[in-house]
Amino acid sequence: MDAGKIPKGTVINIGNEEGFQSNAVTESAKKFYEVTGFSRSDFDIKSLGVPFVNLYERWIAEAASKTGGYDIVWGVAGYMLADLVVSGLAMPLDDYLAKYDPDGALMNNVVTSVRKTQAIVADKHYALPSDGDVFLMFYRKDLLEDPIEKTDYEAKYGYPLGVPQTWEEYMDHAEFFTRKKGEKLMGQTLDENFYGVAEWRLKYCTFDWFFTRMCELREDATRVYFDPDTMEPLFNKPPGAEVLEYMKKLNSYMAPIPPWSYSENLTAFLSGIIAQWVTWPGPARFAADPSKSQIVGKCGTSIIPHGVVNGKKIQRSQLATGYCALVNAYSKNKELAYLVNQALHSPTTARVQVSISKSNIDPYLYSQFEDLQLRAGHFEGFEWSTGAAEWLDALRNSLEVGFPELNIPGFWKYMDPLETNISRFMAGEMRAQEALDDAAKQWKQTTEDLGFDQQKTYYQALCRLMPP
Amino acid sequence: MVSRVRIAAWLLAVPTLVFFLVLVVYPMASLYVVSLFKWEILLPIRRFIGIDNYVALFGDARFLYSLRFTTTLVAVAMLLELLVGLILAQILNSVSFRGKGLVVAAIFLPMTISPTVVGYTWRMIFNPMYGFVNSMLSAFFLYPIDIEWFSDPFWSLLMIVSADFWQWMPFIFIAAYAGLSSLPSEPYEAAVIDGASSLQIFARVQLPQLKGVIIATVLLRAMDAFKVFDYILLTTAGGPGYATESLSYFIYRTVFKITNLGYSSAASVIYLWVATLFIILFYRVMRERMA
Amino acid sequence: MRSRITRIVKSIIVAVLLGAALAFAMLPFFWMISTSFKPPVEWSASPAVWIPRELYWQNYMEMWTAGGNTALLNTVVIGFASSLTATLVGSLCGYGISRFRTGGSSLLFLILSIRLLPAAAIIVPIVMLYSYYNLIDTWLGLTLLYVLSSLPFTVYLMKTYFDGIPRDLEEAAQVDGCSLIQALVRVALPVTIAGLIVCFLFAIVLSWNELFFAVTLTRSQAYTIPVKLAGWYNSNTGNFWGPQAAQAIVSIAPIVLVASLAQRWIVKGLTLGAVK
Repeated sequence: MDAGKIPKGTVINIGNEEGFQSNAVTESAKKFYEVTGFSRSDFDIKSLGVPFVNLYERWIAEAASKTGGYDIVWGVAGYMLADLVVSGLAMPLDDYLAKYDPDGALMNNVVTSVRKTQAIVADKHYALPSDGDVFLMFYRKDLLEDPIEKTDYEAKYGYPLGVPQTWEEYMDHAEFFTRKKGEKLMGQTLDENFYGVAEWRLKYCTFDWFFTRMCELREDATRVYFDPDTMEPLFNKPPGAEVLEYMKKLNSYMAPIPPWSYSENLTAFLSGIIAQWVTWPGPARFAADPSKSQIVGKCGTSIIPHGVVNGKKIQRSQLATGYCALVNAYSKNKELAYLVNQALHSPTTARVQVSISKSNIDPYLYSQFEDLQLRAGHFEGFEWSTGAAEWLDALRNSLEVGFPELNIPGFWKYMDPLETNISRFMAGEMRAQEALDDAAKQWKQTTEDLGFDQQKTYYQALCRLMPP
Repeated sequence: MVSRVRIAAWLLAVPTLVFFLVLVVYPMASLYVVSLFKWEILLPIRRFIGIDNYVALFGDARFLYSLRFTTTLVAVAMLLELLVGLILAQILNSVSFRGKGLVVAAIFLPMTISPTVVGYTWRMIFNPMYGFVNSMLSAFFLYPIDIEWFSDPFWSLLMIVSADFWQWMPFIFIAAYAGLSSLPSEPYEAAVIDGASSLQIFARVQLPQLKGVIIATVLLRAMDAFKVFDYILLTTAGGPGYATESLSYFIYRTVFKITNLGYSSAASVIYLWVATLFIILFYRVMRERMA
Repeated sequence: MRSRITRIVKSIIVAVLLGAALAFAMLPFFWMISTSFKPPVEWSASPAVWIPRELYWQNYMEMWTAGGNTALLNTVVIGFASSLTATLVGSLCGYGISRFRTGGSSLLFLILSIRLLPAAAIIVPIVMLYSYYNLIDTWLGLTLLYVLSSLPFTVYLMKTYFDGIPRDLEEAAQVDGCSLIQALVRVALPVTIAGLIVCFLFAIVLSWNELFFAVTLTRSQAYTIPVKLAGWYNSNTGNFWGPQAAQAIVSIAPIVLVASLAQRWIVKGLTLGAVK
């Protein structure tokens, strides 16, 4: 990586999510200076946090106002990328990649599905993938190993108690482990309610959980959202309604407290009252931290249950959110910004991002998955006594079969009606099929509004990135 | 020939007008103009479509619902705040004890917090498991209460009204209290001598004199209440479904999620007209009833 | 005898009602204070924890070092600047409308209508305007907006206030040889100090607590306390109720202090026309 002439006092501003992500970037920036020998007086790297709820707004404001106030926009969720590309905020990076990463070392280090879905829009690179966000399943190991529970379970369901392999088993587990206060769990009387499952139900991204199941119930991953040739929405065709009903049935095994979002679920899980859940990779890390969790050593990670279509096992997982970092087309220091971007994503610095305790970035590089230190549980700031390797393997395997979100222009125009309808269905206002059909109608309308051909082109490009 | 006095008079208003022109006229103008276009924020779509946005809005169930919801919310909140504010003001005005100033200050405090903080706090305290509202209600009514504050449209409405009430009832209270404490004492004393009950005194003697204050405060309050947004964003996010989507939230969502600026501008224009009409009507009605 | 009992009963009822009102008003505050001192484990404990088992000061330190200090500075500067300006400008205008009927009834209505605008409706034009004039992430930018937001209240309040002050005072002064401006400054203004204080307080509360514009129009330099507050809320990572509550307390404390000290003025200030 060459230096070139950089005017004094140049600052590279990185816009990202306030809190852990911002912290991770700041820490890795320090590492960057260490490794490359540059100093802050050559040029400064600043990480500017944006409150999570305002992320998308901020990028929209930036796209509209073209100030170039952020040189690198890091807090870009995978699904935002297409919109930001179309708006002109993201600049194509293929030329830079060819120039500075000619043998593809950087990109090849990224797990394949992430490399494709969190960087490429319409067959061109626009961002560097930053995060390995995919759905994993977390469960209580102690529950599954308890002899009393094992006997009872086999007696009731007719097959041995183990890590749920299919969604039916997942539902059985949820039903089986939901116990009221006063009942027995693992031979001991419960002093508070215990719940078989937890899941996100707050309005915002309930569709992720819908699609993570839908994508395993269609053989052809390209036919989950739309028909690639006619752009006819296909998510409302069977078994869409069944999936919704399944999700609603799960509600009865969840603690009765909307609004369930990640933080409420996490708290509940860490306090030991949830048996299993499907969500982002974070919980296992928090569960191993004694200062936060009461279930240290008891949390197991695995890839999510698979679906079965025509007798064939389909294993995929939703790449939910999945951040990437784009270079602002209006930046005044494009090339430098790109170089910094690339540097912060290179193995040494990226490792900092995933290994410190105050970070929400999950591993996404092959080098990280094979890192012996990480596998042994030696993270910076805390020791993960058991389960680190299991977590890394589960994460890697899930990422390999990652199913992207609908990364085409107008993402929210599609998802807002869908998640509103899912919410209405959950509240009992609509029937499942009605909810999906109504959303599908709005999807067709949106496709027309934005330009049928344009949307088709983008969707077909997305199809090329789908898992087999 | 314009008199010097007239010029001086206008000069006094000039600084205000400058702010107005610079920061209000441009956005307002753009609202009206953009509302006639199909205008996307992120995509380069800018097409003149006349009143199509308005037509679509009147056929949009979600928009119409938010109109109904917002007016209901404002009406309920105003009623409660006015009632309780007046009663509290009357009580505090008719008693005196040491530390009364502190009590007044304490009641006044909720107004000083950021609505965002109120939103977060409400989200915490209405959480059936981690918050204290349900447990407190159960203790009070001696009956286990387990209201689903976030997943029932009726209770969500109440939850949001309660946030607005908690924070802004003090506004009405303090205005009424200040007004009451400044009323001349003669009519009051005369009425007491005449043997009127406190309720009659309040209704016939004091209230009419407070007319101006009350109308002014309630009007200001109603204008703000129409904009209710923070509480909704941080608690229900418009849910369940779109049961708690206020007009302001609808506009926000249309701008930042659907990114359809033309549609949101049209919605904003309708919002302004509806709010203005509501306020004018409200003002007329209050003028009549208090005369 | 009976009247004494009724009086006692009445006092009890009043005390209960006031107590309830106080508790109602104070409960959330107490909750926030208590949460700001809780260690992470207790943030979302169920059932709710009211008294933390130790004074966990780290929340405050975390909050302060994470930018809480800059936020405080910015909020104070912007708050004072905008409130002073709004009070000044607004009272001038209010005086004009009161004494000279400037603009008839339409001007007042027009100014009041500013308050009707929801932030979401005008945010995009404002962003465009601000970025064109390089006002994004500046003190000036937010100050201008907050002055505008406070103007309706200031103008309206001062107008009604001036309405209640008899003109004789100024006319007497003018007869004595003062010009209009001198009459305004020397005679009318001092009498309305209470009203001015109320305007200032309301304006500063408004700007101190405003989130929407602050979060959209600031980047790394001019961010205010509400922006920092929002930053602690992250449904993807996990809420940090502790530092967030600490930030909330830091945000509330100065305002509460000022307001309680000035509460007598507030009552006086809202007392329209009670000038002897």
